[in-house]
Amino acid sequence: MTTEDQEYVRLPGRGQTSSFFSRTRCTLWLARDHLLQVELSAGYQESGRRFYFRDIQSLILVKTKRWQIINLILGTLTGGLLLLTAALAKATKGSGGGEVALLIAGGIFGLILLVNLLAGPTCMCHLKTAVQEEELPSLRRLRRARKIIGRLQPLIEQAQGMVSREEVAARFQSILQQLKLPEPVPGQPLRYVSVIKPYRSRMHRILYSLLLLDALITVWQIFQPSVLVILLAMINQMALMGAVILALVKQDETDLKPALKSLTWGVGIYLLVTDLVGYIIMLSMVTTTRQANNAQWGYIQALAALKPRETPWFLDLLVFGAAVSLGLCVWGNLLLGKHWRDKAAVATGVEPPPKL
Amino acid sequence: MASPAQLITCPQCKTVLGAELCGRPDLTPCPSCQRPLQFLVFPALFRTETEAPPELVTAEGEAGCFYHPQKKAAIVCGACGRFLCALCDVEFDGEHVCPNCLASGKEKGKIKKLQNQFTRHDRLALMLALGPLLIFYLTLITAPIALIYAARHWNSPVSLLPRRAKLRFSLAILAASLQILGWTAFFIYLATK
Repeated sequence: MTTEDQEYVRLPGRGQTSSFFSRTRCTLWLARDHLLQVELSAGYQESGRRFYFRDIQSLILVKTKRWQIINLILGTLTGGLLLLTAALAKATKGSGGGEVALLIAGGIFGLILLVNLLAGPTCMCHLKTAVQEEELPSLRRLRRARKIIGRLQPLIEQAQGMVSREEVAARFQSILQQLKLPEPVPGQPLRYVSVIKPYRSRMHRILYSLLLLDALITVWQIFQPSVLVILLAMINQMALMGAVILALVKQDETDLKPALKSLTWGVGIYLLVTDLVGYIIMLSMVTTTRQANNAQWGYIQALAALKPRETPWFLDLLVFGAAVSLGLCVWGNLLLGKHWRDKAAVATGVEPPPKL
Repeated sequence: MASPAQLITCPQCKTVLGAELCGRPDLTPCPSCQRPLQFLVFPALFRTETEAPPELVTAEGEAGCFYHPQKKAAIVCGACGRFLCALCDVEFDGEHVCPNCLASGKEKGKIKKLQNQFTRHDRLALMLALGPLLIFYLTLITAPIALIYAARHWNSPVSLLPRRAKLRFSLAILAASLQILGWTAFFIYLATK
């Protein structure tokens, strides 16, 4: 071990970058005059990138929504499993062993949720030099990233000197003038590299139409349950899943309103939850009817035989599902209508009417 | 001369960020995507380096660069002693070397700071010793391989950083030796039965 080796100090945090085939684990190490990002791929291939303090031009930190999304998913799973445990315990009067398994599963999700809550909000940290802009995957928690940036700032300033905010403003203005770009003003963001495309797809309209169809099929199922209705509902559910995936792809890096983008994610989560609930119902029905063979077909038949108006919990579930689907459809169509109206107003130069 | 690379953009939406957002102690929404962000700028962003072109050899008997004989020699390579012009002079870690010496130094692993890729032989040896335990009969083949591999790479460089490679190698050797002992005992038992 050389003296040079010994000078590295490990910075807290560990991150991963993953592609379809491989996963790379990243850690950050601090040396006297540089920052070293060590990447370990396939468990045994190590590579490093050095960022010398004298070359670092900028550090950019952006808060991301991953923390909220993970909390939402884990919270839904934990809550759903705990509710299911309570319902199952009530139904079997504590004689079955299934509720223990569900409770353990719920507890595991709850524990992961707690860890995520304690770790705090997520972020992404970018480091810019004259020739590259790299994300530092080990700095994906806001609290930790700010602490480490606070530690790095004096070291970089020691290597390069300091620059005052007034000087930065003057230099930025000069750069924009030399590049013949207007100065960015609030409300009129300036993009040098335009990655935001205008939204032109009809996928969101199709998604909301499928949600409306889902609500109608569910209402139909309440009044006339049959194998045909169940099959239609299943096909529509699959179409909805496909539509959500396509809508998520189509909305990426477009000028579609953030509320609409979030709504698509919301629809996706709602579909996942309904799928999970459906799966649990299927499992319990197949287990109780003991139809090991043709489980899917047996489930469809058992579901068709179930009269919603005579089964209160099933009726509640269907009414809730229909209401949510209809609500999402109406909300989505309203937002989409507003988006197109605003775009048309911008195109014709006519301002949209003020909100009352 | 300013370049587009000197613009600071939001990593999410690529909107150019104004100076008013720079160096703020708290997170401020991006003017376009509204994501809360914070950024720091350092003097290197405004640095524009213009190197003087190498001078031409003018007088008779003046030393020229080894690689560009028509250019005036400015310095001597610290590794091979060749004369270098300003263009061929590479300052690295306080020394002046020519591009050839730098490239060969990297290839041969002599310049440690230029090495940026390693095979973690210690992890590989441990994986080879412990992984096949899941399908135990595989250890008949993998245990000797792990033992030879660990012994062969005992002194090989394994990482950019100080690592406890010897500990992993020792564990791999121990696990592999135990597996070999187990198999030997098994075969002796079969032979004597």
